[in-house]
Amino acid sequence: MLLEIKDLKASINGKQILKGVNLNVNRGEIHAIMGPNGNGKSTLASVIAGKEMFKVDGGQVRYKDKNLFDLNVEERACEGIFLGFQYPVEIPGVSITSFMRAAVNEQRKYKGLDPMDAFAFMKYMEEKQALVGMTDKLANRSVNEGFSGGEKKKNEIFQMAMLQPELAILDETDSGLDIDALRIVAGGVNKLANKDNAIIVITHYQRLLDYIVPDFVHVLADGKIVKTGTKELAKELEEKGYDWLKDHDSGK
Amino acid sequence: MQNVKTTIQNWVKEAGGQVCACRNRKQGFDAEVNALAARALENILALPESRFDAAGANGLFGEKVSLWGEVGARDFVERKRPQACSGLPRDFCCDIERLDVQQVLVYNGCVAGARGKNLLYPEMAAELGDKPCVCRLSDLEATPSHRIKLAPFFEAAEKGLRAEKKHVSVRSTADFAQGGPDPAREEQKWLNRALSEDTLLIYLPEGCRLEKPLQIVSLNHSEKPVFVATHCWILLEKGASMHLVQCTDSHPQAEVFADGLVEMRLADGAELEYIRMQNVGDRCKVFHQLDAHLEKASRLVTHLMTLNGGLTQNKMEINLTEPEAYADVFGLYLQDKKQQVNNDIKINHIAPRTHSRELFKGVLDDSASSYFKGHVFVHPQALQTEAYQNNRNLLVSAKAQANAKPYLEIYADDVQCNHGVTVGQLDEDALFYMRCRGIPTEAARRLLMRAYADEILKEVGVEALRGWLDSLVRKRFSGQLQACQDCVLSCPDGMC
Amino acid sequence: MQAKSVKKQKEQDEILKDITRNDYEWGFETAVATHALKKGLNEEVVREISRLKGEPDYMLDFRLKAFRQWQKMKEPTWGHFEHAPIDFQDIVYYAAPETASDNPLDNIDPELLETFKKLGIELDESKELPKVAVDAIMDSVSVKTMYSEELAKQGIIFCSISEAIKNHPDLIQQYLGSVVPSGDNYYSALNAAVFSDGSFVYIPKGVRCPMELSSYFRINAKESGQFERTLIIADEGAYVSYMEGCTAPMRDKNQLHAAVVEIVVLKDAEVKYSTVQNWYPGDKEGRGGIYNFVTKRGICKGSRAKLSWTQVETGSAITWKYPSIILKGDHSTGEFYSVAVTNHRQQADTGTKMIHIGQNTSSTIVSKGVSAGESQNSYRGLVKVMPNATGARNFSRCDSLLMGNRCGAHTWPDMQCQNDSAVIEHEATTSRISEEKLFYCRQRGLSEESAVSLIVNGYAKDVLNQLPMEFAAEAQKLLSVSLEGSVG
Repeated sequence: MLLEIKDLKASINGKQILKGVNLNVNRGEIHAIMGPNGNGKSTLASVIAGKEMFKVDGGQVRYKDKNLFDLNVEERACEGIFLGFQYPVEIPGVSITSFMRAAVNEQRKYKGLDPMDAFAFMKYMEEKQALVGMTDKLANRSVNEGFSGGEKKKNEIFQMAMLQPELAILDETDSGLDIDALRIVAGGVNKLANKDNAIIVITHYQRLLDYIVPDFVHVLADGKIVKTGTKELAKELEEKGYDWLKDHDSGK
Repeated sequence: MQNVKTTIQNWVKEAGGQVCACRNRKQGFDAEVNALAARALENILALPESRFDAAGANGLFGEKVSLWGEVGARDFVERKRPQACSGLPRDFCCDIERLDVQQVLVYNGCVAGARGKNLLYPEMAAELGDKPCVCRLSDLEATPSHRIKLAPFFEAAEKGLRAEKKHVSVRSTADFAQGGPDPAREEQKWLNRALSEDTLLIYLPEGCRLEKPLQIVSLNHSEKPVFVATHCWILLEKGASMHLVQCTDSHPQAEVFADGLVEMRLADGAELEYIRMQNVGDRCKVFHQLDAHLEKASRLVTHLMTLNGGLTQNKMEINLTEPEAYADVFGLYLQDKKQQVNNDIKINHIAPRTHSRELFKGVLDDSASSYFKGHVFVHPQALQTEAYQNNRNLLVSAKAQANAKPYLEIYADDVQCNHGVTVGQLDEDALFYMRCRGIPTEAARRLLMRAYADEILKEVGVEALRGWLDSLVRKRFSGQLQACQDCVLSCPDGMC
Repeated sequence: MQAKSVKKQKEQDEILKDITRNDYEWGFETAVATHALKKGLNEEVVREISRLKGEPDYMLDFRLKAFRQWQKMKEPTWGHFEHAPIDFQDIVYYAAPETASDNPLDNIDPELLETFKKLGIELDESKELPKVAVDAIMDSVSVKTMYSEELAKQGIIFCSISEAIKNHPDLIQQYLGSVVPSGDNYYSALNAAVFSDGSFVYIPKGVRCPMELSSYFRINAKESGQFERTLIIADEGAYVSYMEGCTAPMRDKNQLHAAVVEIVVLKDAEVKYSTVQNWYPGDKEGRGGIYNFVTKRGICKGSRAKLSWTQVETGSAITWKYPSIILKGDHSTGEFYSVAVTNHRQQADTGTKMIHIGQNTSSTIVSKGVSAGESQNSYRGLVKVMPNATGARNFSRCDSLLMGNRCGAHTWPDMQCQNDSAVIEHEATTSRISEEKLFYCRQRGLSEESAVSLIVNGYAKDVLNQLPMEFAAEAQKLLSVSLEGSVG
């Protein structure tokens, strides 16, 4: 098993957000986590990536048979965890090229590989740029600085392609995208999915799941996964809304 | 040769030891106040001679700004003390259109109104109880509870009198982070403590929200050149709030050197909007100091509106001593002829999560000059401070001058501070565009200038006041407003 | 384009590799015989320096006049730093590697060549690497000036100032002290009295200097001060790019460096002056390090003259330095780009002065401060527009970055505008390094130190971009090394 989350509890500033999350993810799977806003979806992603402002209060997360909490943020990244940010950060003065070069080579170093030489890197980058339809011009600009919402998300998928993670968590990657951008982003994700990696898609809307077809759909509400199903569940949610679930839940 | 020192000594001699006309009735807090005044006078006279000659680098009136020449000091020596408060104009009133305010008049430094009374509620005695109170400090009985309430003011004055100017050749980094009383500022306070006629006390009890703005009108007039000092204490208890308008006006021909000191303390959650209007003659000099002490989550908004004045100096020191204290400092100066304005704003962020915002805008015409010094100090403990400091100047004539020193002194890392200064002209493209639509150059310029001033005016919290200020600014730009002319004061005949 | 970005990338890798290093790597000492005067300063010492250098009388007069001025002056105290009083009688005012003093060109001690090689400076002209002409200065004297003969073919004079004093007295008498008069300040007076060597550059009319000129300063001798003096003259329509670098061995005792740099830019000429200042900063507890009190000033004398200062300040225990520009010629341009990094107990008070005198003059100031550890870092600047400077423009941007809660970052700008057609804009921000940015980088697998280095380099990019290629890589590296141990 790639990722195994057991009864995970986490809080921020003393406020409990995750109240016992259980989730198992195997290689080759695509999971979607849905749920109303403010119920812990992004928190779950941040906790897995290792954002320090969240406090883990209990539970276990095992990743590739290691205790995830023994690893710091960058070690987790080097171990193949990739977080696609909901709000990608702007870094003035640092070009995407130098940013990615540093990231790729750090990860290679972690794996005991030699750094990629400059020409190989440029070639590699061109390849991945083509995959997400990113222009050369964009790559020479500072990271996310002055990018449109769509450009920022495309840039996230491009970085995912560059870093070839084993576990990619895409946090609301669809938010703020028009349908064309959504297609490009989803297309990129589909190309990147294979039997050796796993993808967790966090989304509020079913829309994205028309393009990225999940093997499992989980509903995260009030800090817990309250329901798990197939892609049909997403359709049902779309029709009936999350309130249906609440009623459904309390009726149980 | 006469200098500031000998002038002060002469005053003391002429007055037979009693320099201040209104004091010394031997009642209320007079003993304490007079003791402070005596020590302040002693301190001043003990200063090295070099401080009295001219307003040089070490002058009594603050640091040297070469452009200022011998401001203050030379002017000081020919002055007299004003007459005792006899000549108060009868039938005085001040109309601010559509604005309902309560008024207190200070004439040549003396507070007008019945003795021993709460000037807000003339039927009541002066008392710091559960009602808002505006009174003379000398009218307040020196009871233990009054003493406790006023203790912080007395302590601050004490501390200031003990402040010494350090002459160290190499400053110590440890000193930088101390904050504390700035000796240069304290000296000017000594002058006020020694020579102020009266202390006006404004008090709001816990939770008291005064809806009607309070207006203090400082009216200065004398046939001869005089030196007038006024002093004010403002104490807002927890959760109290008020709007305070202080107007300094003078006869256009009067030669008044007005020194003012306002010391204020805002307790937890108190809110004060303080608007200082100045429209005095070109032969007047105004040196004004404000000292504010802000406690937890209190909020101070100040507007310094300098519409006229030969020489204006606004010194302000705001201490954000407890978390979440908040200060907004706005200033607008519209100067022409040879007017000079100096805004010197120090903001000390001492506690975490304190905020300050400064915006000073000026229009300088003819040979007018402005000098802005902003100093934001952030103590190592003042994490999550936010401080913004901005000074914008429009130069509209070849001989006008603008100077700015926006200082940031920061010893904490989790802060967001920025400052900006611009000196420039009206937007030529906009002027051209307006003219193409048939607006004459002068009108277009005025329109742009008004829009420019609007950024400050829109921050005024009382709508009626805002309207009044707006009309004053408009008149000022169209050249209709000079000191006293078109003045808001309906002075009795003979005054204007 | 691609090759360039590849090169940039290589530099980036260098940084990442270097970040694991910890100490001041230039702190070694050269075992070379040194001829030095006794400690202390008096009129005799001034005369002796002049005599040792075999100077003409006019120079001795120049020195003595300055010395007498200095005796009457007091140390400036307005800087935002503290230090124990400097005992000016406890300093050696002249020290020279012995072999060099006799015949500087042919007879260089191999130890010296090795030293400069270690510092990355190849004094061997036969090597056809990047062509940079270097004037290498050890302690008080110029060890070797490269490519002098080749440059002379175009009429360019590039030599030590001592040689210029002997060989080009007309130029020296016309320009020495014309931009920074001896009495300008305490340290310029001291320098004028005791300066021992430095570089001299003259670019004749219409000549574009074909290679980068460079001086490299190294303090080696114990307890000696370094007082070099540089004079650069770009005649009408000339162009030169000049680079200055410096290092010193690690010593427990503070050493004084009080240099003067004067630049004269005539009509249509352009001078670019770049500095990477890496004097020994002292150890983590603030012991030792160079006191760097430097006066640098240039004048754009003629129309359309252009002068640009770029500095990367990472070294020195104390930096007191304000490279300034007098914009006298109409349409002349001044630029100041600065990155100042302080860590541990370093204290920097640096900035610029832009004096607009001519019409339509313009100036740009970009200052980026980074404070870490327990350091204090100040920007101090003056922008002055004189009454006749119609159409003057200034833009200033002064940012400070704080790392940790025991350091200070301060901004002390002063703007004086006396002309109504001038436009002055000044912006500054102070903040700490963004947690968000750090997290973002770390999430992509960068170590915290790499992330800091990457972000700081990005922050300083506007300035680093101004540096000549040969310098840019070194500067980036220095930034990273200076900030080691500043996070966590």
